[in-house]
Amino acid sequence: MGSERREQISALLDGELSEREAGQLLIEMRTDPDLTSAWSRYHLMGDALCQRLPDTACPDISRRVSLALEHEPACPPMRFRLQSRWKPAAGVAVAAALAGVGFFGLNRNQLPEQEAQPATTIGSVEFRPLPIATVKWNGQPVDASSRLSAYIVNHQQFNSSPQTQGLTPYFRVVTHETQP
Amino acid sequence: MKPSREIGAFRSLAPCFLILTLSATLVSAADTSGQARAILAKMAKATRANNYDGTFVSIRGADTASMRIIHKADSRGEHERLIALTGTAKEVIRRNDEVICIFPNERSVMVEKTPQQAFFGTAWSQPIEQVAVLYDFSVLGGDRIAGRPAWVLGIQPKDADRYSYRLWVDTSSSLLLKSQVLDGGGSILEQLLFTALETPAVIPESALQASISGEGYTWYRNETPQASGERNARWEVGWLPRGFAMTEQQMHDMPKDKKAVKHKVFSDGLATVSVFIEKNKEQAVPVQGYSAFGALNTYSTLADGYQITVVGEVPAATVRQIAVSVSAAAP
Repeated sequence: MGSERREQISALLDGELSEREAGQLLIEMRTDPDLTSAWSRYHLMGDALCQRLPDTACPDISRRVSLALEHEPACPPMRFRLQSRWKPAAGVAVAAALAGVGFFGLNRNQLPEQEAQPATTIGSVEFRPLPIATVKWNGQPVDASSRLSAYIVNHQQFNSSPQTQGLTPYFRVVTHETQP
Repeated sequence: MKPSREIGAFRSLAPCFLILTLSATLVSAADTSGQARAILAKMAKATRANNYDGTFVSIRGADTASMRIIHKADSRGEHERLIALTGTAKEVIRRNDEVICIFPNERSVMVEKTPQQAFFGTAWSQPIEQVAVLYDFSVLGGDRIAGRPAWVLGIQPKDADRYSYRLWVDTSSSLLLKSQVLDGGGSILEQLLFTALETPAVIPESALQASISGEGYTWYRNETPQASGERNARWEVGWLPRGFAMTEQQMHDMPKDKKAVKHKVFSDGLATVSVFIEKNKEQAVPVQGYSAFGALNTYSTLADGYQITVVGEVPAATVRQIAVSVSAAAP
């Protein structure tokens, strides 16, 4: 890449190119890796001058990622699940218990005696609080918290957030039980 | 080119320059979008298909908890053990769809069948190409977590209806090493951080055995409840953020009075929102208003004598807007 091109990139950064010239240069940049690289480099310089760099600047990140991915087999896209039929819930009791927020789906007299606490019936949901934790819901009374906690447990099973792509969804209900 | 020309180029910050910088950022993000998505797809696969043994910390607001996870994948499927390292020494053993949970404090064990899709299906429920319409994916840089080199990925929503994410993915094993959920102002709502991670070729069965036998414990087995009448009532969710589609609907029957709770699950491929609809008993105090726990928001309201609650990893305004749009459909 000649110095004329570099001058043009510099001028583009400085807003000194005409609209036509800028447009032409941007089009060329799409296909010319040297131009793109210079563009990135100049930006990095600009960021450095303006002290905008993160602690872990990685200027050749694009190339490194490309290299790393080059030899990897392509991952087939996962299919989108779309089910419209009703189906019975499962996983509720364990998850609720894991959450330490109480569980339902159990007969009251199955509970061990040492756990004999008054069951709370709210609406149509019966909760038997375990003597471990309670998720504290901001500003909601205890009864409401129990019901919300049950909802949340059911919700977590279907969590598809990036975090749960990288770790079993159970971690979210297992890790938090801090209130004795 | 003269060096002075290069330096001079960055001296002024004219509006035109800012616009060009913005467009350059977009060009730059587009450059790494495909790479970021490929890394994420590999991560989702590695999570289920690899052997690993690691310790991680979960942080939500002022709450901190630590756990160890041991995961084995072989011809028989997945076998996993989670051990709480802080608080109660709970353990969770999962063999494919069977989950066993042990509570030493309560001397109880709970066994349950979990639908397979709750695990396998939680992997990218939509092709990432579709999700990219709603979020910008980018490779932000490199970092080092738990002594392992990692790619830092950014997932930025294109509107204010959802949260953004940052993920640190091991460059060698493709496993997740750190994650953050951030709100629109850039504040971190939730974090996960591995402090140690190994990827052994062989994981002995003994490592996946519970630390207690369960003898003398009370065992519970959850039974699949039978659903009843309320299921036929039709409810409509009038508003959802762009790109959200229903992925599941369930009936949860409660044991005492067999009243049903409708549970509809919606997802844009990353964020998940649940809508719960339950008939409110006359004597019950309804839940109303907002709640929050880390990145999780809820909003509850009443409609036609029914309790409507929306739960999701989306901003409070989004769960509220969805909740107030729920109504009974005309017969």
